Amino acid sequence: MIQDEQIEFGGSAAAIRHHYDVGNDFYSAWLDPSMTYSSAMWDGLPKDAPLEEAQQRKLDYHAESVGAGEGMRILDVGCGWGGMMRNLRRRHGAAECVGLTLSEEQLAYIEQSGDPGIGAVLSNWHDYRPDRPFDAIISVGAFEHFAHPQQSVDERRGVYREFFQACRDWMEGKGRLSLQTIAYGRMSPEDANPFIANEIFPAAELPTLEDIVVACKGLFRVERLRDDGLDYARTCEMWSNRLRGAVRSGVVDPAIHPVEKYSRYLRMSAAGFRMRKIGLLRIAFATE
Amino acid sequence: MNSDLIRQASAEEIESWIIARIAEIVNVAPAAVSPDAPFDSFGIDSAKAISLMVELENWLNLPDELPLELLFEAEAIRDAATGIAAAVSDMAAQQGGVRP
Ligand SMILES: C[S@@+](CC[C@H](N)C(=O)[O-])C[C@H]1O[C@@H](n2cnc3c(N)ncnc32)[C@H](O)[C@@H]1O
Repeated sequence: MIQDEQIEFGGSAAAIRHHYDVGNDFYSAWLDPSMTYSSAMWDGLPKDAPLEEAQQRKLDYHAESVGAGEGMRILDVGCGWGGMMRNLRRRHGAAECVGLTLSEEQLAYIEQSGDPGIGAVLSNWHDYRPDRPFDAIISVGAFEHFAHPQQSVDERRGVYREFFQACRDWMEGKGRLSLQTIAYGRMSPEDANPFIANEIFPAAELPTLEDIVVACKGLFRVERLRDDGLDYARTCEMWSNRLRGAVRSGVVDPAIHPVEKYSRYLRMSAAGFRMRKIGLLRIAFATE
Repeated sequence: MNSDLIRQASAEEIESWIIARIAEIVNVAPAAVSPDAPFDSFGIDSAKAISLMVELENWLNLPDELPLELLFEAEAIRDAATGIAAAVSDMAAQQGGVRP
């Protein structure tokens, strides 16, 4: 959820390649098999349901939020390793999925899948101009990175509004958008502690719920809203434990990968969610 | 103590350890930290809270992480200590360790 952006914004091209050459294996050692790098969802599942099942639940939740079905063409903004698109194709009958990512390695990973109904584009959503409209849009774990700490509240809201406007346009004014993002909770942007600001979200600023409500006004109606911060706490704790297990079994070598650092970030994020300093918003939007 | 073996501390020992650490972090005497208060009532930020957890895990010599909810979701430090002691003996049972 965190580190790849730091590399993308801060690193040289060589550093990015170095990171991702070992990256896919590193991530696959502790993410679930769908390679989902965002919060899972335990709503409706037993409290002790495994990560894999809760990630599947999350993927289906967003698919259902946009009414995914036969023949639809669906865009995934910030598609990661493509798990959402694979699920939309396999379980919801989507005809065509397009994913946007900033990572070349993720692009290559998705292209390997060999499903002609799945495409990935290396593009910032801001510059993206699809040749055909979409029926629905999903964005999970990317919105966190759209605004920057140097921007004023109004500027940030302006960027979010551009995003909502773009989504509306890509659907020609008619369709649903399902968004999942971390947001400020009890903690406001003003008293963000240096840990969150510098270590966890470098070059990125989290939205508040208010930012989102203001930014989408007149473009989208909020159809459904949940704050599932504890889901993310549990996800981070499970990732951290899996990472520890991967080290113990020799799959991950702490001499090569910054295991301690990751594990600490993951647990601190979990603590932030448990203390409700930050929350996890899941919002279903509709144009009409 | 064997360096691989879990320290099977009692709930009381764990409670005293947590109280001593909180007192150190917020800079008060341990007697001023009530075991009936919830952990999140001390204004400890997430970074320090995690350091505390990691130190506790190291002190207990645990092979696995303690679930954070044991500390954050407990109504009082005393309950947190009880929960942690139970988790520790579960881990020790898995490890097949013997009581010291
Ligand atoms: C934390 S990952 C989440 C990936 C995926 N949705 C998941 O749940 O596993 C964030 C993704 O958003 C992408 N991303 C971040 N900012 C973006 C932007 N401005 N335009 C397009 N993609 C972006 C990153 O490249 C990455 O694939």
